[in-house]
Amino acid sequence: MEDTMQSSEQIGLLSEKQLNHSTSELEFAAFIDRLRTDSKHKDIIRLLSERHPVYKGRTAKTMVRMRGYAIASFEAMGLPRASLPYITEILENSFEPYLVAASAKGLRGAKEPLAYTSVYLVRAILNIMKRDAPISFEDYRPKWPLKQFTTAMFEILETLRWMGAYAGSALPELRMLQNGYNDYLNQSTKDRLQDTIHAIESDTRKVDLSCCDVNAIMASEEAWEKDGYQTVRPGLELEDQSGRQLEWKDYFQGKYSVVVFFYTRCLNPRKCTRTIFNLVDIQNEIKQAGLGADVRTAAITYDADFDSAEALETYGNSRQFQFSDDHRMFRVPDEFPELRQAFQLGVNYNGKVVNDHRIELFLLDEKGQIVKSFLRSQTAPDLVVRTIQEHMAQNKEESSLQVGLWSRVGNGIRQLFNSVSTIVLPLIIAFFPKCPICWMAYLSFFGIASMESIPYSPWLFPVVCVMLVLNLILLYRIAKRRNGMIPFVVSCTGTFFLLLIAISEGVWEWPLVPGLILLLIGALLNSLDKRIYQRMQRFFMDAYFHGFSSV
Amino acid sequence: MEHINEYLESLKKEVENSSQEVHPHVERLERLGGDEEEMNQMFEMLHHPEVSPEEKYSILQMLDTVSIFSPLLHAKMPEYVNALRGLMEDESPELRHKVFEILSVMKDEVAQERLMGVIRNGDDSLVPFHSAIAMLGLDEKALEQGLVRDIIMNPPNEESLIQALRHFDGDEESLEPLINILLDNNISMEARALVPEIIKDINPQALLETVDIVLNENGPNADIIPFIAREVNELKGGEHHDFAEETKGKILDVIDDVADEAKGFLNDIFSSDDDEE
Repeated sequence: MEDTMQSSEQIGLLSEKQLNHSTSELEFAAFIDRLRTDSKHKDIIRLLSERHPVYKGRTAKTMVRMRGYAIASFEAMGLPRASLPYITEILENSFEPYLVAASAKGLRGAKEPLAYTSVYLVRAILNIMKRDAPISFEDYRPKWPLKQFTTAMFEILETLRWMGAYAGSALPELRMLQNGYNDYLNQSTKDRLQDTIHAIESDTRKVDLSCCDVNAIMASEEAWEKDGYQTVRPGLELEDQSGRQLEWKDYFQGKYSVVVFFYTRCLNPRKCTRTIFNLVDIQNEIKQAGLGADVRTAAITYDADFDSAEALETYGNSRQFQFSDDHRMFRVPDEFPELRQAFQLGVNYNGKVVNDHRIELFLLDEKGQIVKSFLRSQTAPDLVVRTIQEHMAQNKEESSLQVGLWSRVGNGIRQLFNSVSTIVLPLIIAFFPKCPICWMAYLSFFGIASMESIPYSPWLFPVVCVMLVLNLILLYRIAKRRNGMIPFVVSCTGTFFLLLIAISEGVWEWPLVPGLILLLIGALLNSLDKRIYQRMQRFFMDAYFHGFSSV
Repeated sequence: MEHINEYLESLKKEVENSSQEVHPHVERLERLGGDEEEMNQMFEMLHHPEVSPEEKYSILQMLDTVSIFSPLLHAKMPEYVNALRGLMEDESPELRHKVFEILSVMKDEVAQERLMGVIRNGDDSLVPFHSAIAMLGLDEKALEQGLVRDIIMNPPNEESLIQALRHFDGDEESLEPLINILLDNNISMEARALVPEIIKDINPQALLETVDIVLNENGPNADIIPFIAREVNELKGGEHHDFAEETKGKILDVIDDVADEAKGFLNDIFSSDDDEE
């Protein structure tokens, strides 16, 4: 027997990561039962993903049973928020009674009813009403026929009844069901429907039913599934619907892209067919928003073995896909596993056949990097376009910020150079040994440091002259941007005094001190903060015109 | 629109001219389709131990027919399916077979699980092994391909091999066993004829190489040649076009030595292609 039970101790030792394609269904069920008693939500959430290794190679119906059993456990152990994208996706898109029943049941594990889920429950009624089945959650493998059983419809109605006033927005649809679909309901369903409507109507709790932007709720809920995206290898080979061969970078770099995944053999009209119709709406929205030249769209098949280029073209044409150079369908003939890994696609296979997949849409930037994903529900076209616009604006801002940053760094360096040059140069000039006396003073200092043997060199005098001229040039150039011409004039005066020493061939020594002081004052005035300089200027002007008493 | 209206008019006339008498059996079916109470009674009879298998079989046939047109039976699907599932282990093999047939068409998950058990465990006490494969094959997502490959490698009987080949996607691992089946003259032609298409899908080059082996080992009169030729022809125009043309040439080189019946078949295959060109 493949489904031989392990002993309870062995099962107790299993962790979620040890579950794989060889784990039997009964082992899986026992594992869920153990988690239910331990209330280990996180482990169960991971098991809801189609890409979990435990589903590899299983049939679609086996996945339905296993996932359904896990979801139903939330009624007893409490409903984790992270499970909501899965549950709403199932209620909206699944035609499997067991999975739908489990999802409706799981919702009753919430501490407080979630008003927005009533929309999904009503959609599930329409999906399931003509193909319901007997269901038992008491036992993973019940003995048939069952004396008592539940159904997907009963579980949905029970959840709506439990929600009471929180399901108020579902009342019009429930009444329509009661009046318009009478032929499709058996007597016990009619009775339960009546009970449900009554329970909602008689619940007097005040509930805000204006909630909610479901897309936004879902976008925040599914964040945990976004781990592990990788950059696709630029050389990954693609073939489009016309049979043209190209590499990933040829199409997915240079412009923003909206990418969806699908396959033509998909039997669920709420999934792949709707995904493509939704992409067509997104194409229209892109054009209307004036982004036609900036955004590409792509639909990539999960099933390259079956979906030939011709099959893609036929499928697209029958769904009004607007093929062009910027809007294409692709198959990845040999390297799809690599793409699946990079996008962390929610798809699993039984042999070459897709056994289950989620709804998934990705936004890629101009470099081909995934910047946003919308998972598990069809995303409103305007939300997709709005998100692209936001990203484009953000990108533009970041680019200009980067340009701004570099220019600020450049300016800073220039300012620093100007400030330093206008202060340091006068200081160097001030302390430069300009005559034999200076040399004696320095030699006296150097003597302490055993550096007395440095000789006086007359050629150093022209160097001082060059530095003085350079200092004046810098001050003049910076004068307009800094503190005006006064520092320059002061420095010019100081330089004139120092040149008097040269003119007198060292006979006059008295200009040395005032020359150096004026040179330093000029440098300091120039390097002062503009506001401080202006305040100081006003102070002296006032003092000059009105006397110090009034200052 | 005119054509549709004309067609509707002709249908109306046809109905008016036909006999006004409705067969009593049809009347009963029509009544049953709208009678919830009678349906409930029938479901109970299907569970009842004193009702004979023949009667139960007859009820199943009626409900199966009613399910085509009755919205009420759709609304009562859970009760109906519960009753059907309850007969999956009935003592009567005919009844069990009928029940699995009906449930398989519905793609019922419980029936599929039981049928998968037949294949997995080799226990055909519920339905014959090959029937289990055929019934699961009604849903392309219902067969575990790994199990189908195992059956092809070790088939319990010829019928099971045929069914397994009909529902096998093929993979690299199975290439060698498939070529062995193709070349094995002891296996029925019904089974071998299914193999070239699977090999072509896995590895076209391998199929083209097989032609040489078949011609060398079995000569031009090998019965399998036309089935291979059909798949070789499909490869033209693609990545393996040149090699496919070369292989076609090899087959045509020996066509004069081929028996008349096979010659006609081969000529049809290749000439239809030439016409298109």
